[in-house]
Amino acid sequence: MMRFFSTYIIFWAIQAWVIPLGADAQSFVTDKGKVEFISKASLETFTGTSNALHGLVDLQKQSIDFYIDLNTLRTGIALRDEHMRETYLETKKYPFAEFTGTLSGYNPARKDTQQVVVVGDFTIHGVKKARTVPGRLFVGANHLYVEASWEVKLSDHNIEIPKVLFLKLADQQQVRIQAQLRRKN
Amino acid sequence: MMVSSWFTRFILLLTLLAPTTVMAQLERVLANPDRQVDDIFKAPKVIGLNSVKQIGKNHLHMSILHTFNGSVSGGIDTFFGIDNGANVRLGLDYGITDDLSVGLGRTSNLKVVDTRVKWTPIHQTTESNPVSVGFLGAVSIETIPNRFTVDPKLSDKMGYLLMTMVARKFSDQLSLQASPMLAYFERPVLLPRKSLVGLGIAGRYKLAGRSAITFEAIPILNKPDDLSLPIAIGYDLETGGHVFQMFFTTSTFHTENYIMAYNLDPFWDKKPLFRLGFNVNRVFAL
Repeated sequence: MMRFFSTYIIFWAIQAWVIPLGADAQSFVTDKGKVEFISKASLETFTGTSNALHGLVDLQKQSIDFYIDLNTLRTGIALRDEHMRETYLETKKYPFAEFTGTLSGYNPARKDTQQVVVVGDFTIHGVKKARTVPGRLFVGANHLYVEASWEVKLSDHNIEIPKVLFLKLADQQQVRIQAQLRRKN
Repeated sequence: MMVSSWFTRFILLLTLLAPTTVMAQLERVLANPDRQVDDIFKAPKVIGLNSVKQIGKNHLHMSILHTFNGSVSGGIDTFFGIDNGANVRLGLDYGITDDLSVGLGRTSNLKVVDTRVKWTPIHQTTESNPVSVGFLGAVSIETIPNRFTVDPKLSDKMGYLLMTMVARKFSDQLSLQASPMLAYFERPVLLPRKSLVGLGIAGRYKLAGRSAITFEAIPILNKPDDLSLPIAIGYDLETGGHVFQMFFTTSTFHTENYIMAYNLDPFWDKKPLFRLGFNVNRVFAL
């Protein structure tokens, strides 16, 4: 019995403390990342922003996971925000935009900003698309900085663009994320 | 002893497994689960009746409201009432905060200039608040010359409106609003009395993503005999920053107190007596 207990305690110590500490030391999180999208249509260019990007980057597992509550996006005109939520993004049904994938090209030896590539799935409006997105990564002592930019075609995600009277929303939207993630302890 | 060692092994197994299920994804959490409900009505006016919809802080809302003076029963001779000119209200509204706005308007019939304050302190939310509640106060002045035959004082030309708006979005499609109101005219010409008590009801049924059918009626609780029940049925079309509204209405006016006080024709009396109208709403961010 004593042997069982000692084995148990040793395993418990290794499993619960030592291994996760090692794993978590390579894992970074945030809930205050910045998201920006730019819509450039012939009659109107506008930008939507949010500072509520949630992110998890695990350098050991080489996994990344980002999501945003689309209700937090602001374009500067309250009525346009409302239309965006109600009519285009349908945030009541699909509140989140997500990007989950695998990191490649990361070199732990480098101490400067490096180019990486994430292969993963981008989901918005309930439609998932496989995407390969280049980004820039910098790992500091307690923080990880990441920025990436890619194009989202609204029609790829079944987001209908108004064709009535004015064409003011671009089908091709530039999406940019920028975040400082803190090391998880 | 057997049981306890079996139990220990079981616990050991659990602890062995537990750390391997380290989450690979973040849990998806809404930023605000008790969010304000969007889009109860598309425009600050359902048709003629004010809705709980606000202008938005530092936004300027421009509205051009038209109702043709002639009823559609004029037929092709008056091109369904359009030949007889329109009663046009040009309006500007400004959002001081997200919950408070002020407005100024000018209506061509009787040359009414009106100002209003709309305050919507309570908003329907996804979890806790079942309704949005707003209050509206308006002061209007008739600036038409020779409106009064004897010695008109400024105060004789004044009219007032106090209104409460209680609205709820019942589903993605259906929104309803009840609006008890009190209108007071200092020196009414047509009315046998100075005040009218109305119970405005309005509704919106959303069709596709950007259009909706709207409805409003203002039953007057102390209705004089020669007035009719004000009714309007409309169609909203939203295109980004614009909301277009097309409607059939009994009254030519666009503000609640005048809608009640100058509504002589019923919607239908053996033939259609309603008028055609359309509103254009445009919002600017300042």
